[in-house]
Amino acid sequence: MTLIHRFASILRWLVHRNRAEQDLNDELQAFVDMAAADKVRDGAPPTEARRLAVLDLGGIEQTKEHVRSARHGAWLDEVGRDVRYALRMCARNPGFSAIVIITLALGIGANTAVFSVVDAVLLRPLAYTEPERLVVVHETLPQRGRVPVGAFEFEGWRRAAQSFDQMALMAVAPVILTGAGDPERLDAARVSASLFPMLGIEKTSRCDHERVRAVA
Amino acid sequence: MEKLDIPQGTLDLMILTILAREPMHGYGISQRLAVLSHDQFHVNPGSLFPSLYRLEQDGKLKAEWRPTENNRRAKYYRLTASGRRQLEQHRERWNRVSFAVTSVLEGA
Repeated sequence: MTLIHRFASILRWLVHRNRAEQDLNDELQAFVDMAAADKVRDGAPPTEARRLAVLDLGGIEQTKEHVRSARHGAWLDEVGRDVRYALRMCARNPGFSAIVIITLALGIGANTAVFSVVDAVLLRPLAYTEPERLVVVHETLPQRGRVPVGAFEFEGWRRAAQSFDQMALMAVAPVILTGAGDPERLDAARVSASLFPMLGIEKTSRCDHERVRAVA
Repeated sequence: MEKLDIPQGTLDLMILTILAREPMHGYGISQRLAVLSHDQFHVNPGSLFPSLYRLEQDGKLKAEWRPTENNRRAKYYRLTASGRRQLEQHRERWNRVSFAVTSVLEGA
């Protein structure tokens, strides 16, 4: 209940600000009038009475300011003032403002991009079952560096390996897709049949199978 | 004798108490506060009006412009039902606080 009242009154203040200000002014003037009348009745000269009454109040403008800053929603006024001030300052020096805005935009953009990569590559676990147990084994020769693993050697590795549950063979081989509009280069790999079960990808649809076979 | 400042948090309670008897304008409230406190309290309008506005914003008071006995126009505040409930709660709380403080002071 209190909250609704509060909200409604903040809204009223924002929409009918002039009337609210007028109202506050009238109220304080009435206060001073009544106080002055009492002082005249007590024997003070009329001109002096009003001055004393304003003094009692602690100044009309000061009291208004007290009321304004004590109202719920006073922070909205402050935010409004700050925003207007910021916009004025931007408009006064548009060149500098533009440089600052562009710098900020680029900085935020670059950060977002970098973080997206870090998030995908480092922070998120791979979408496989037990990704922490996945490793890649390469074959390298001293003179030639990394070389493709032959099917025959792979069979040997698989039979002899004791540190691995399962092994699968994979060779990255980009392909060109033709026959469906413009030719297109696709990332593809030739893999052994044991790869998908090993990664925990079981429910590849028929369509996927077809595509896998087509690419392979 | 020097006048007392109104203890923190009790101004609302006193405003609500005064308005529970009859609707009144800001000047009237400050006058009544002075009289009822045997002139001990000096109510600074700089804190009276902010309190009135906040209580009105919270729906504890309702304000309307009315002519006074002397045919001026003044903004009269009156207690709403919610204000009456708040008054009861504050009063009961205040009674407990003042009883507790008195007990400590006299028991020590």
